[in-house]
Amino acid sequence: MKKIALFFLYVILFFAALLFFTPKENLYYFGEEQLKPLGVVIADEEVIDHGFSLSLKGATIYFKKIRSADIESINAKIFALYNNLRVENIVLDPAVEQFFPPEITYVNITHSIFSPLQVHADAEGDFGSATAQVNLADRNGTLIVVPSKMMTSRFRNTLRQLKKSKGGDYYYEFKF
Amino acid sequence: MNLNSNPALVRFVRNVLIIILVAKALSLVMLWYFQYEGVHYHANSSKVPEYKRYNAKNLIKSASEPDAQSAIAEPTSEEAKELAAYGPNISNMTLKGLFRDKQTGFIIIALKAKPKDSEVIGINESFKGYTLTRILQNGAVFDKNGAPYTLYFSKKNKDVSYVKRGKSKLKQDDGGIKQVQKSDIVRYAKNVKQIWKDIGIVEVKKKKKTVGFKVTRIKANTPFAQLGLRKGDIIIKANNKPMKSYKDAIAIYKNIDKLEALELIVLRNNQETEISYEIN
Repeated sequence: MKKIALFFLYVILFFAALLFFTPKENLYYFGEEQLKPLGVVIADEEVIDHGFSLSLKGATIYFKKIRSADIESINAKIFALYNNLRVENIVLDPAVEQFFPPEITYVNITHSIFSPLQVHADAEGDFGSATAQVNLADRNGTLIVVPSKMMTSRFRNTLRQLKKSKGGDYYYEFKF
Repeated sequence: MNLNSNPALVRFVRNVLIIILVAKALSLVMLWYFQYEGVHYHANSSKVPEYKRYNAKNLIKSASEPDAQSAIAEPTSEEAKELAAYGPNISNMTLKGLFRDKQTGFIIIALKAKPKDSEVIGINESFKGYTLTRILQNGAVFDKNGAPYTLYFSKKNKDVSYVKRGKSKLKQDDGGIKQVQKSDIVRYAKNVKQIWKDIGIVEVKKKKKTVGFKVTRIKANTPFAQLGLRKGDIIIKANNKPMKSYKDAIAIYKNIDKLEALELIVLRNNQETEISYEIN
C-alpha cells in the first residue's frame, strides 16, 4: 500500500516538475503557429510564464488579416488532468461590431479528465450568454446562445444564422 | 541528521531528484522542438498603385474631334512665328480637357502650335510659366507674375470636356461612368445591415484562395440595383486592388466615405467588365 502511494506521489511529482519546467512561452508560440494556417494571428501580446500557468496580456486578434478584436487577458492552466483557458474582456473591432455586439466579458474553455472526450465552453457579454459542447470523438459540437435584448433587437441578422429552439434559445451545430 | 541512518529517505530524495532531472530533460527536448519566436502580424503593403481616374474621354475626344480652337492639324505659320518670336503665352495655348472635383482636378493643355504635345497639369502646377490656380466649369485660371489669366474652352468643347454633375441619385455620363451620391455611400457605411438587406455577396474561392466576391442577390429599387451590378457577377478588383481576402473588402468598406471614385472589375459570363463610379 505504501509502495502504491509512493508511486502515485512520484507520478504527481513528475507531472508537477514537467509542468513547471515546460517552456510554456515556446509551447504557446507553437500553438500560435498552428493557428496561423486557419487565418488566426495573435499579435502585440505580452506572454508571462507563471510557473504552473501562462497568461497573455493585451493581445490583438487578426482573423484572415482583418483586425478582429482586442483582448485584455488570456489565462491558460494546463494541468493535463484539468485544462482551462479563460479569455477576458474582448472588444471587437468596429468593422466586426456591425455584425456582433462589441464587448464580450469572458470566454471560458475547459477540458477535464472526468469527460476526456468533451470540451466545454461558456461565455458572457453584451450578446447575452452562450455555452458550447465539443465532442472530440465524433468531431462535432453544439453552441447554445441565450441572446440579450441588444442582440435580439440590433443583431437579428446574425441571430438568423442560428436555429431557434422551442425554448427560445438559439443553437448552432457544427462539425470539424 | 545522519542520512546513512535513514536509507529510505535517501532513496526518496534520490528518486525525486531523478524525476526532476527527467522532467527537466524532457522540457529541454520540448524547448528544442518548439518555436523560439511568436507569430507576428505584418500588414502587407500593396505594390499595386492606387486607383486614380482621369477623364481620358477629353483626350480621346479632343484628339478625334478637335474643336475649332485646336482643330489646327498643322500650326499656321503665323502661330509658329509668334511662338518663335515671343515664346509661349496664354493666347497661344489651348485647353483640351479638364477634370474637376471639389478639392482637386487637372487640365489637359497644349500649345496651339503643337496641339498633339498635350500635358496634364494639376492645381499649382505650371505649364510654360503659367501656374494653374483654379479650374472652372468651362475653363482654367492661371497665374503668372501675380497676374491672373483665364483660358476657356471653345464652344464645341465646352459641352463635352467636363464631367456633368447630375442631381439624380445615379446617373451615367457619356463615358459610361456612373454618378453615385455620397449621401447614399455614407448611409450605407453607417448602416451595414442595410447593405445585407439590399445585396447578397459571398466569397469565391479557387484552390483554397479567395479570388473575388460573388453577387448572389440584389434587391430591386435600391441604389445597388442601379449600380450596374448583376446577380452572378464576381467582383475581382476594386480600385485596382485584387479582392483576395475579406481584408481587401473591409479596407474598401472602411474608406468608402473617403473615396471620390470607385472602379470595379467584375467577372460577368467569364468576361472581365469594368464599372466605374464617381462619388459626389
